[in-house]
Amino acid sequence: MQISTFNIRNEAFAIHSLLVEEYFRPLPITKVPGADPRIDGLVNIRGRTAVVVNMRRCFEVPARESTAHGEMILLETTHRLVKEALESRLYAFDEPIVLNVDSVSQIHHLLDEEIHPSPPHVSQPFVDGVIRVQDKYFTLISIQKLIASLLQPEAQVRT
Amino acid sequence: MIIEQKSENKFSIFNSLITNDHREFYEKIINELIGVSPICNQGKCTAAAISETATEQEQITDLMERVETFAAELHDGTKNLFDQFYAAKEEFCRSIYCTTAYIKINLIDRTLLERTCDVMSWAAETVFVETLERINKISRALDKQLFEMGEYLDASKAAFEVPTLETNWTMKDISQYVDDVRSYQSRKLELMLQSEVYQSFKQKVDSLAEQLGKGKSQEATLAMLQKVIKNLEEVHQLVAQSCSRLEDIGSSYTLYRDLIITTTDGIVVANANSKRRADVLGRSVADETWFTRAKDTGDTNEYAIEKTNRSIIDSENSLVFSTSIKSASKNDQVVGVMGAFFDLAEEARIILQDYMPKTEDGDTAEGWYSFFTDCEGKVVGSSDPNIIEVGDYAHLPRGHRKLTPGGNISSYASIEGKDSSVFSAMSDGYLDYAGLGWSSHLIVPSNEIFASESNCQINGISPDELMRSRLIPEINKDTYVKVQDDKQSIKLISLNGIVFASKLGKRGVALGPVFERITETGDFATAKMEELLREMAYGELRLNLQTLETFSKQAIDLIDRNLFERSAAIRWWATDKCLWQALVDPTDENVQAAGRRLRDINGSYSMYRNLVIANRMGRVITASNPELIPDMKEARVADHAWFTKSMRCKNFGEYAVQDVGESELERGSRRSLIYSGAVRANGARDGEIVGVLGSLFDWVTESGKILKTCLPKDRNGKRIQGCVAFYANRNFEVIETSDPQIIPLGATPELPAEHRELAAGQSASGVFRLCDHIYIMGSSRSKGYREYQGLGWSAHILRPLF
Repeated sequence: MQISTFNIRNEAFAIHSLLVEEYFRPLPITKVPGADPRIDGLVNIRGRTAVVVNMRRCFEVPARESTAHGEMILLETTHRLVKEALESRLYAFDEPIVLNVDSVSQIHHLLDEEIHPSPPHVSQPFVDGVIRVQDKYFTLISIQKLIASLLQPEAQVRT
Repeated sequence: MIIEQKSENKFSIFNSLITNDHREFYEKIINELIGVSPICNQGKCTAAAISETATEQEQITDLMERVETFAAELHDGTKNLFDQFYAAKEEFCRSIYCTTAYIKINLIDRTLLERTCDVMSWAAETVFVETLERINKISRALDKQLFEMGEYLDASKAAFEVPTLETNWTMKDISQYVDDVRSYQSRKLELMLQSEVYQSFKQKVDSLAEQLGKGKSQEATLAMLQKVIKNLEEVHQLVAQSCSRLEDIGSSYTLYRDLIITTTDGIVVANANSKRRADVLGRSVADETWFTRAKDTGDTNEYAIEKTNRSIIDSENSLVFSTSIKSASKNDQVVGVMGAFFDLAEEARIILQDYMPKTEDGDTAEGWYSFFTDCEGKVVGSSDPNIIEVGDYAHLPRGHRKLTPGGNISSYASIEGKDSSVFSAMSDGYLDYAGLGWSSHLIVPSNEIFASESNCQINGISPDELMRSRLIPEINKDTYVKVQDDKQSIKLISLNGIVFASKLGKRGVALGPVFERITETGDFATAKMEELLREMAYGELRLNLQTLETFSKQAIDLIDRNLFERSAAIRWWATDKCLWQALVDPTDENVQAAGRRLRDINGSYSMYRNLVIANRMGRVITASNPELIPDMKEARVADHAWFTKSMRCKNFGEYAVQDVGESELERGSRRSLIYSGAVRANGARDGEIVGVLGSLFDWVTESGKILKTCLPKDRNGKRIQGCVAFYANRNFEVIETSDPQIIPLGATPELPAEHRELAAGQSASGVFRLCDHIYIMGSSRSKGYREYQGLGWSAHILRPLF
């Protein structure tokens, strides 16, 4: 399997690469009044509208300095998921979702057994486990759980 | 050069200035970037082969095209970066080296201004006026007396034709004596001004007189001879007096090769240089320009400066300051001329060899030259006379010979077969002194200007801090941001490609290496560019540090030179007749005369707050500005350091100094620096001390002015905000500061070791943290000037980084 890694406040995180549709530089965000504070707003990606999730807010860390622009990860939507993703029992959403992160770092190849369960002291509900690549650790995020905690799970999530 | 070439100042790898390191650097980046195109083509072909749908192929092609665009942008970016790199260095070096050239000519100007004051105040000394008036008078009398002496001698000879009872001498016997004496009749000048001639004449007159005394009725002749001897004796005394006075002055002011006093006919009657005296006295300088120009100087504030190639006074090239000596009692009638032969060669040597990098042996580094040219373009002083010959026309590009006052220029030229940069600055005088229209030139090997920063390591600052600092021009900061941005863009494209390929499953495997290669190329190119930017930033930092060192050196040099003048002045003033008279015989009249003399001196030397004389008991008897002293009538200085030190001075050559501090002689205990010298009866060189002359140097004003001059300026000549300049004494206590808010007076800032432990004449620079602020600082320690040792002070210039 492949994982895509990114940073939030000097901490390294990872998601499955098959769930990534595209990386891009920050786009102008249109704020949505009354939205969950973890939602930055909406962006327009080549005609498609996507919801921007602020990952710093999700992990309850202070906002970035105004000079740091961050980067964006557009997640795959349900109908675009490739066969391999479905076989790996990965989940996606019908609507485009963008993760707003500090910086995107790399793509790593690894074996399933390299994923370790998250340590008991991690209380974050959307952490799926810990990955060790060489001497570096990444926190693997479950997109399903993350978005579920933000949106209406019944309406949006599909197996 | 730089200004003219700006339009075509685009980077070309063929430019000879580009260093080999950078050529290699550039080639590597370009090779990498050129490699992108085939990779992208390969990617496009692979896409066509593996894609199942048109959209898939389009997506891959799109990615490839974006990579190609970025690669092209990076290519341009690299060129721009080199452009900026070389332009920035060129610009900065131009600014720093033109400033250095200017500092050198400015040092000369400041010295020359002091010299004009010297010659004018010396010419006003009573002893010279009196000597000249007396010599002129005696000289005229002697014309007649020597003629008459001949007549008398002829008569005497005749008288011996008739043998008398008293003597058995005949004319034959006396004839030889008379002829001996008569032979001097036409040698008036030699008799007056050459000791040896006068002595042998006197001997002959004595022998003759002895014989004449034995004759009959020789009284008139004897009286005549007596008169001539008496007059000549007086002239010799006057000459000795004047010479001794000139020697006193000359020994305090070692920057003169000789000081000369002539009559209005151009006959040298006194000089300071005792070694040359026998060759010089009695000679005529009537046809030398410095003399003729000085004779015509009208009022007392006029002087002439003449550069001589040869003078009978001095075979070396000299700069002669001259002015007429006038009799105050006779409607300013010109009675003679004073000429001061300034030691230009030595002064130029001191200045020109300074501010230049040195090898371990203390020689000037290879390829560096510094020299002055006069308004005709002839070299008047050179740091290396074997290469740039004094007296020759300097072989410089036209622009360097056509400067306007205060202007500067730089260009590239080949000097002694070495690609060099030439920086020139023209004098604009100093204060009300217009200068001589001279220019200062500095030659620096080009490869040193553009040398790679091999060691991007300066303690106390991180590359990121440096990159954000105010030192780095906005344009470079923008480039830095742009490179970072491009690097990230390429990375995102590659990542997108890899993600895309991974979703194609087995079909995508062929694309993987393509994107990995693109990531590598992007990383390599941008990392290299970051490296270059950092090199640029460190280069900028290094040049800034060098600038601060130069300015701190200028600050300490200016104060050393200023204090040299003070230490010289105090010594010759202390021998002034008015002053010792008032101390030896303190009648109201004498004390008043001394006060007047002090006021006169203070009038021409405005850098003093006050000049005071105290008697042996330490009571102040008079001052140039008595109103500045809090309680003049009761002023006692017996326990002041300057007074006690002066009372211990052994001879005329010694003086005392009281370091900067609050003084009781000033209202509000204003800080002053006091130079003092012992006053001796009859202005003698040693012996009993009758009192002390103290000069209160206006430290606050003068040092403040110098510190302001040495604050760094930006490229438009505006002072850079937040900079501070200060002087510290040998205990590192701040004695003057340009900004007491940041560096308070009397404080002892925690200076880094390399700035504290400087040897005399050494400079250092580095990063300095003070109260959460980061500064860069240049420091220099005093090395004195000529025989003036300096007071162990140091000058420090700070520039904030943020």
